[in-house]
Amino acid sequence: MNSATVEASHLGKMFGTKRVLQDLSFGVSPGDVVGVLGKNGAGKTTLLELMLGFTQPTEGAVRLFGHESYRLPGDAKARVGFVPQQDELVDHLTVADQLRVIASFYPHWDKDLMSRLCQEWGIDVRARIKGMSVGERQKLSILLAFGHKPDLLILDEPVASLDPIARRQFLEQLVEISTDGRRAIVFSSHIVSDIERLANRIWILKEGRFDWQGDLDSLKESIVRIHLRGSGRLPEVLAIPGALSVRRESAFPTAIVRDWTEGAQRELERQIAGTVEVEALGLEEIFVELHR
Amino acid sequence: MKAVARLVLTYTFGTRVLRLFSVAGLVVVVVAFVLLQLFAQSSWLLTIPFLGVTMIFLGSALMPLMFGRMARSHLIRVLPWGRVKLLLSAFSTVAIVALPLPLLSFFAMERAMDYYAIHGDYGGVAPHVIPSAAVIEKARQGNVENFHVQLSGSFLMTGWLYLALWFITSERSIAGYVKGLLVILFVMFFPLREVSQLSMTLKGSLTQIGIVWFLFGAGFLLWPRWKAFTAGWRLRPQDRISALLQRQVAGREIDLMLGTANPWFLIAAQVVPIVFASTIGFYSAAVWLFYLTIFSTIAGAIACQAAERSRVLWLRGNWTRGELFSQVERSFWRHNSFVMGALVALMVGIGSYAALPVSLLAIGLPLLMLSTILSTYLGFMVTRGLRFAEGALAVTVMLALMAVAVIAARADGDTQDILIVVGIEVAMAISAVVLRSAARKRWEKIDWMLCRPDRALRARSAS
Repeated sequence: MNSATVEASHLGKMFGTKRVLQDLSFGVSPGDVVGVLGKNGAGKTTLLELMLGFTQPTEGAVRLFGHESYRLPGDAKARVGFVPQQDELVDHLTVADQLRVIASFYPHWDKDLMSRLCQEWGIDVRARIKGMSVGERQKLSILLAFGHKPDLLILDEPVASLDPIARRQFLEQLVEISTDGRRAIVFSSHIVSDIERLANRIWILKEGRFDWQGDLDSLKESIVRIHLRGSGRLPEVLAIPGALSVRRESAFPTAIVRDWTEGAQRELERQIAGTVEVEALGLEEIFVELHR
Repeated sequence: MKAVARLVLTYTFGTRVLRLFSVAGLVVVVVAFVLLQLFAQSSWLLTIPFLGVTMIFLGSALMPLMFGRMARSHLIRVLPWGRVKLLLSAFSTVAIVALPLPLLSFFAMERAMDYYAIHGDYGGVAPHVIPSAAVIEKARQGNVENFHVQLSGSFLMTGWLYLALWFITSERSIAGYVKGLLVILFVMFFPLREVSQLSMTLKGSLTQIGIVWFLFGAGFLLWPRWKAFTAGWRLRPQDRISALLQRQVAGREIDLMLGTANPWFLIAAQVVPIVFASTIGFYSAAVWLFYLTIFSTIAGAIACQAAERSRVLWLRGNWTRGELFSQVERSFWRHNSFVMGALVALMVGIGSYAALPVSLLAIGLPLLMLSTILSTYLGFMVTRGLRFAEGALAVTVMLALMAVAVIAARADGDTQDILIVVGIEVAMAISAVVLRSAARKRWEKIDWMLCRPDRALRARSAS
């Protein structure tokens, strides 16, 4: 039995003649918290939906708990939690009824956890869903994915309509889920700071391919801003390996580089006959630089 | 089973109004059962179970809506055996709602058999024939067979009615109403005709149930795969049709935004199947008035979306709320008058073809117009979503229209009946003026915060 929660190899998806994803290979193991980043239309939702088996890949394969995701059996589905981009609640029901309906599908449902979270998140179980605000509906939508304590939680931009407090509560809950090391979380978001705070692995999608796939620390070590301090006048043309952008607004140019290593640093210092200062970047800056 | 039971329970008791209908329906069915044990069957007594079952049916009105919402959701794809359980819940609901009438009929007949067997009291009815024990035994067997036939027929009919309700409530568009109409037309033509002609057989019903539910079940369960399979097609057939229709749409901006620019789609969808049904034969020509009256409310029913569609017009246009109402009213009448005209022409055509009495046409044609007018203004009154008051008013108007249609169809030149119908039509015309005034007042105070397009529909269109 394979211990990986999700495994994909050379995954690709086309809609008609439009190629949305290509050649994605990855694995997700228990304990992983994967943040998926990408511009609008980069293929994040398609990737998550492929993982859940909503659609069939055009190329490659993706497996969940050892099963082909497109043909996921019921007992494997009971181990998956999903929060869609837009809530899918039944307007006419009360919160309590909606919770009961979803709970009835699962063999194990943690009622105490639900009660506690409803209380902590300020969700009135007697309220009718029709009368709830967009943020409240989203909170309920997220709650519904937690109740059966899934081994894999997939969230497609879950916090877009949450206020800062609700977002914090949501993140705390995700941390609580992820700390036991038995569950995996994959979530996409445009709020990069949330991903930075929570994820231990990052997937950056660009034009349907992984522009980066690995742990957050490696990403931050790999893509950095460098400040060049030469002893004399620096040459007009600098051969900076892996440069994403170069700024020469002052006497000391700066550059943002990827695949940065100590070897590259030594080589550059030798080239400019000076020193190179390395500054770590935030995830948002990295994301922006990768998409320039 | 837990999920199936929970879903059925939610369909029938999910909201306060549904709970009221379901409980009242169950009480009426129990009362009907007791009465049928105490009194001999009579036409008034037999209407009580119908009333109860109608209430139970209305009580479970959430089923098609919730079923449709869940079936289209992403969530159902990750719920363990989600689609199977959802399908089973629909099947169970149909079975539960279909059961009381045949069951009551069975027990009522058994009660009658008991009377004949023991010559006991049967609601004060004098015995007019004393059959032998063998005849009674045969009748009992016949009653069991009849129960099965009735149950299967009732199951079939209930399923179709839910399908019609699903189309109408979940899509809330001309296309949805038209699909609902087509289902009703189909029910009129096939199962109902069999019931009225007493040609329904157990084998026939079971075959129909088998085919219908097999196709529906297979389609429902395989739908995600079909959708995934066709996702890659550049232009699916329905997109091609939509694109074709869109190219035909032209007109005033307000009409385009309100969806009233093109009445021909609705006209075609109403006229073509009715003409087709009338040419291949139908069991009662007079019944056409009844069904055309129902059909004539469809154009009006679309007006219930007028307020939420007008929101964007108010934000863009330089109109007061009152002026906006006038603009929207004009736009809808530009659309609805074509549809109404087509139905009137159809009624005249069918009247000539089926040689309907002139008196029926004389009182029937105003009825068609009145039903369109009433339903249009009822639709305009929906400015904060469909709430209980509007729903109750709509049901009352609908029942009144149907009752008048039945009286008109039965009048057959009888002066008294004709006068009654004319009197009610005059009352309806006055009601239409009152409804228009009420709708206008509502629009003058319309709260755009509370008048927004349905979230569910937006969500679906986004997915």
